[in-house]
Amino acid sequence: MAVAAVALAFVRLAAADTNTISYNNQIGPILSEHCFRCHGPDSASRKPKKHPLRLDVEKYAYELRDDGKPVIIKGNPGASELVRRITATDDDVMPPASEQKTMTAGEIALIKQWIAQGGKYEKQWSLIAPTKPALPADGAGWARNPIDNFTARKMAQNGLKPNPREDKARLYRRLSFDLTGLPPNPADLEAFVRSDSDGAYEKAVDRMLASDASAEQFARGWLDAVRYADTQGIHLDFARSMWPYRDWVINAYKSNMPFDQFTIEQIAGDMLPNATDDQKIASGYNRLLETTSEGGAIPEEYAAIYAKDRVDTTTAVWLGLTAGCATCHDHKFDPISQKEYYSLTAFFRNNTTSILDGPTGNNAPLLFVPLREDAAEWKQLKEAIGTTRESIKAREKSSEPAFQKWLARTKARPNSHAVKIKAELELPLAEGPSAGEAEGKKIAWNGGGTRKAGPFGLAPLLSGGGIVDGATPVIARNGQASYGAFIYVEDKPTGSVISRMDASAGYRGWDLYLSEGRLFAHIVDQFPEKSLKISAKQALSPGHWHHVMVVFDGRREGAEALALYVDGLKAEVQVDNNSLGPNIIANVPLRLGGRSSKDGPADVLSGGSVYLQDVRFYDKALDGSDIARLALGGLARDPGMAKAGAALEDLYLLGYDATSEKLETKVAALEARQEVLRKRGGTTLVMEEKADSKPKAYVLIRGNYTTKGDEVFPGTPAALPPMTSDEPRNRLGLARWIMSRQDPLVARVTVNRLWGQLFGNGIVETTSDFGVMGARPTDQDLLDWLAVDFMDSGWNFRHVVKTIVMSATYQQSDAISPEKLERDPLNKWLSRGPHIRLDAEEIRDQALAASGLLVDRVGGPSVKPYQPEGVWESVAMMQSDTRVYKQDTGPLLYRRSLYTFWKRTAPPANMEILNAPSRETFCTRRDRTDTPLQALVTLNDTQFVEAARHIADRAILSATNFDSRLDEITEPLIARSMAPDERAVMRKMEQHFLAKYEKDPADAKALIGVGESQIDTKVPPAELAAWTLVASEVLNLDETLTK
Amino acid sequence: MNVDPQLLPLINDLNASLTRRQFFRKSAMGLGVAALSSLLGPKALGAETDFWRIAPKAKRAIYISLIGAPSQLDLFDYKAGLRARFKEDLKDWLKQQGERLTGMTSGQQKFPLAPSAFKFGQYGPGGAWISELLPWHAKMAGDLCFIRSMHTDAINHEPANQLIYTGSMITGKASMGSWVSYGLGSLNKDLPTFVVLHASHSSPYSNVQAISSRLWGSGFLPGKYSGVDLRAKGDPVLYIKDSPGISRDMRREMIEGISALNERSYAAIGDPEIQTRTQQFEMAFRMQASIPELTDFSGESEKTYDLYGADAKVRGTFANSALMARRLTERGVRFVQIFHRGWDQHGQLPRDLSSQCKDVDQGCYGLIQDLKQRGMLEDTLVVWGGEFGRTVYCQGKLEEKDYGRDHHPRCFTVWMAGGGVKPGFVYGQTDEMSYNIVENPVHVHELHATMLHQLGIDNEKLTFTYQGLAQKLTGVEPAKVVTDILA
Repeated sequence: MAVAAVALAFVRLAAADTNTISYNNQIGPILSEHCFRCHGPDSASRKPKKHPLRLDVEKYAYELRDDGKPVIIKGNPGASELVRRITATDDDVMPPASEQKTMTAGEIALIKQWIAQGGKYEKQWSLIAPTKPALPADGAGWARNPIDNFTARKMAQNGLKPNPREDKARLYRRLSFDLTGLPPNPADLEAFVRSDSDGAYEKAVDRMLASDASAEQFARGWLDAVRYADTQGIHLDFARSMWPYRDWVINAYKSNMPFDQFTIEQIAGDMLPNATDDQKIASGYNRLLETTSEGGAIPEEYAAIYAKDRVDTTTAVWLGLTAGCATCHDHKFDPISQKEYYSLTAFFRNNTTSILDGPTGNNAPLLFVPLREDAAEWKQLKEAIGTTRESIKAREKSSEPAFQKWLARTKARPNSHAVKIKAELELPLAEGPSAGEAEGKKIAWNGGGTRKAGPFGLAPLLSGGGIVDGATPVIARNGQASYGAFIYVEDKPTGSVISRMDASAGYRGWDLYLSEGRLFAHIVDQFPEKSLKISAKQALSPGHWHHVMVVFDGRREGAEALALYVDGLKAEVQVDNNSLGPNIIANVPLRLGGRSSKDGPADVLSGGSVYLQDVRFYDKALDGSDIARLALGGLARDPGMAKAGAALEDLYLLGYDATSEKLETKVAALEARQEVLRKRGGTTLVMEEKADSKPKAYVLIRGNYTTKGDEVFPGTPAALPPMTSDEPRNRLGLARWIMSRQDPLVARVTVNRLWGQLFGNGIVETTSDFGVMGARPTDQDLLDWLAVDFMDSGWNFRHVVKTIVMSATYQQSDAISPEKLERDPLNKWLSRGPHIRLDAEEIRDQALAASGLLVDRVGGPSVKPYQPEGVWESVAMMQSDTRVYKQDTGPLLYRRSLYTFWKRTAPPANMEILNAPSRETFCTRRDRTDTPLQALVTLNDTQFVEAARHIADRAILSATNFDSRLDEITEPLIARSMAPDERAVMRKMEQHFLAKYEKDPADAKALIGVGESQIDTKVPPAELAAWTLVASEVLNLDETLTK
Repeated sequence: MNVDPQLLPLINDLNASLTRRQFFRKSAMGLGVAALSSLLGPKALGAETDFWRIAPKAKRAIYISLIGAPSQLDLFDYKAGLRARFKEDLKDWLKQQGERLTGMTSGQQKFPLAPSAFKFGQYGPGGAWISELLPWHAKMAGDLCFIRSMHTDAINHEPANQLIYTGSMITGKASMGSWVSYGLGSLNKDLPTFVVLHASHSSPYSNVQAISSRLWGSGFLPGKYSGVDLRAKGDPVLYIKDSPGISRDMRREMIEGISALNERSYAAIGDPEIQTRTQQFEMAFRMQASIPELTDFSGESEKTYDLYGADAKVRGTFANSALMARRLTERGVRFVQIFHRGWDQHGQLPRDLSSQCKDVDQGCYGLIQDLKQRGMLEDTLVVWGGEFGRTVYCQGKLEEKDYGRDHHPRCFTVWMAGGGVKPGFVYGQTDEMSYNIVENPVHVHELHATMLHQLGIDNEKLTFTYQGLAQKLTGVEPAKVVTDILA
């Protein structure tokens, strides 16, 4: 009986206009439901096999059959075979019993009537380009803009009248959520409610639309559609750095980028002439899909899956087509053949990305992107580094004669390599006895045997790791030091070269070390956990003299404190250990060719020969020019180096040319700054077309990648306007084709999706299916008017949003009278405003905003707010870098929810429960179901309890009496103060809870201890706890959770 | 507002089903009862109008999912003749078979045959072969129905898991459990309809594959049909525990307050969904009471623990999950799925498979015996299996007692018990290599069709229209019910 009541209401509505039968509105849906499976677009399943009948296209439906007549005789239902078959009572009946579908009497009557009226076909409504329909006269006196004339007509046709305008505060709250995703700021709300000005609403609309929050809100909807996430999604589910794309989307909405540009840059930004970084970032749209690193994955298989995913998403999001249905066969209902489908995949099959991801979620090509706030500086730095480098080059050129003069002089005067600064320790190791000087005292090294010609004379071979008598150079933890020498290696020696290190005390101390000819520098408290260790990426070339110097600056952070110079230039190093402890002084002797241990020398050089000369130790960090000069002094005299004139010249400029030195210092500073920015920025995945091949694909028989059919080239379905001949057959051509003014779908699909976001339902309810099997528009004229208006505005997205929210239709009250509930339970005819539950993100952001916790920062990498333990671990693989959820702390906990890290295989738990999509596949409209788990989120999630405490704290501090405090809580959340009966409920609760917490202070403390933020208030714990629950109660009201 | 109270749940459901696109399309032609019932779910209309319903043999099901794919060759599909062919290179033979090889072994020079290192015996009236790794299975062979001729379309975990748990290799489909929830509705008021358990595995060496909620999600079906995780760590249901310092009485007062204030909103706005939402808060409150009762095992007798083994006392173990599955089904949960990971033995199979088997063997025995003793086995369908089989040839190094096996889609073994399937029965036959099926092949879709059939659902008729297609768990092509195995 209940069923009948609801069903009847619809029958009545459906019967509203039946004078002229419309193929598109009435007949098409019946035929597609009952006939097209065997008599539709799919050639493979068409029946009868011998002489297939096709009913979806007029031309074929009227073909003569075996009996010499078409199945439909225009104007004569009685003579039409089709009518005979659908009314047959024997085995001839259509659809046959095996289909388990029966036409109702009403449907049969409609078909008869249609044939009687001439049996005229129409093209699928959505494939006919929209034209701007004439405005109906309805709605006079009520209508605020053309939208209302259309809705007024539908209401009148369905016996409905519009609701009055919504209460001002409620309307403002609705507007605020729809345009910014946040509750209204109480001060703005109050000003709006007080204002009598006609223009106040429009001003509010404009102000909201121009805000960052609005850009974030519309970006969020778009990210659902294009399935943005922070992990790969398949198998290992590695993290993927993609946030610069999200920033790009936010920027695009912020600047109200025209929708055609917005589209083209995403689908093919990388292919635009002289593509900017931003356009390349936008092309990351093509990289948002789920990808895999699974060990056994077969590349061919995934290449097919990826191309399909890209086509399905692009066609659904922009064109509202379910193209994916043509993966295995011609589309059963819509005019897309299997061949056309694979021609679409060809557009996406010619890029440089390797198919399988490798052990990372960040598969090349990648683009580095600085943080939003660093973007301008990053650009300046890049330019400045470029120009400075040019100046350096120019200086090099002009200094050539001076260099040659210097070189000749240096060669002629062997001891002219002196450096201005004085070394703490100098051990020449040239000719004669191996003696030297340290802090003015004589020192001597007792080792050494064979000698080899060095830059300054005969240099000793290091052997045995002997002690340098009288030398105790000290490196303090927060001090500076530089140490090194000229060095000559043969083969691949391993061991310590210069050291003051105690191998038997956890290697405390410092050294210069060789491992198979590669240089290392160690500064050690305890090895390895409290040590610094860096190593040169390149081994020292054997058979040459080199100058080597280690520079330590204990005041710098981490591995920045240590640098290695080879031949006067800073060497490229890898950082092996990066956490130095406080105690680095070892009371052991200085050794050459080994380290100290309890039993004498340890780690003595072996595996090759090492000769050493001019050992120096400074108690300061030498700068680049000092080191260059030290190196030059020797290298200029080495016959082996003479060949490398250019290298010497570089060193000369660095060491002796003040202009060059200044420029080098400048570049170094700029690059250091660039490094800082690089570290806090990130990379993003971008698309890149192969330059040396043309896109193509194969038809995959039954969708199976192992059974290739015909080769196909990029092309668009014949049922849509053709690509113009001057467009390239590649992604760029595809993007421009989608946005061509002739396209019948894209504008309608886009305004419809927006309509759905604002009203809860699209005008076409199936937001990603505008095909035969999709829903019909409830008001095609309205949809077409909006679509054409959108195109006419120059694809101005903000203009459409504004038009909709300025309408009287949008501004109606959301109250449902029993009569309206019966006549139009789903609000198809828009005789009331939307009343829908907020999205997951809006619910959380509301709590953050009302509590004052919300961190007002736009863009940047994803964050990890509160999440119950084990959500990731229970599904992830051991090898995944997103196996353990490491919650952020501080401000990162309170960013807007669109910045929450989205792991596809385990989306943020509180968001997922509130119907946020997993972002595995495109989502053009969210599910909105009610479950008890949702109640548990808003009641118990740490974030909501913590927010309630902050709301309570502010309320208590702002007023002394109950009513004012309650107002402080309700106004930001439901934009009103409570009525007396509501207050009574809240009052009673507050009194009970206060009494309870005064009795059990430990419970009060426990409740207000929830969340990371400190309790820093004068409010007594019992009072704060009781009010926390009052605030929590308000956070959980239907009125708070809906808009 | 004067709405017949009988009508309210219906209208509430209607509102909740706003997402179901058929509503608009079909309503334009007038709603048939069938269409309405597909909209509202069967509960709203009563069994007589559920046109997909057939006489059920089982009221509920428990699916034991071994993620990673257990080796049929080392557990159930005994091939006595292989021992003599140790190390025989199958390279040429494999070429004739024409099966794809995964990226992990396609580069191997040799494909040496690896006979199972384990002893087998025959058990139960059907003479089922069971390996020494599963002694408890051997004891209950008389209760089990083995299908040794399962086959699938996928050769890697991710697509294979999606196929066997959602009926399609393509992401976005509805999981098996959500189909059952959608088709049959709930049997209880205080617990979810479809519950998912994640059992821990004990070996540190297990090659653990990833899973994700898509395997128990609702895909295109409304979100309320998706599986609810009953977790072994932290709160058993996410956010079930009230914040510290809130007593049950306080929570009750809050829920009553929410109801009262929402009722006021309802009076003002008249949207029935307000009442639906209020009901969710009330149900949440009841769940908060029923979940601790559910997870409190103190009432279980030592006799019961004797069945499942001592492990059952440790939260989150497989045996513990198996016992939990019984408690859940006992309390009216329709579909329980236990995931146990770590069955992907590409190398060191003997060591790791032994440990995996030890994890689950007695728990499975306990569950079947426990259900039997309580008279629940006859209307509870239990299914045990992985996502594909494993190869007869060795991956990596081969020794008599040490080998690995790659993925193999062409045959694997699944067992069922209770719910109207033949006990002590063995179905299907593979060739001498356990490579091809030679008798009675059962495709994944057919397994699904058979499961649905036992639960009282005609798989061809239970559909949901999405993306222009009447979606079914069993895919586009008709899938037959394996009537041979039905009692």
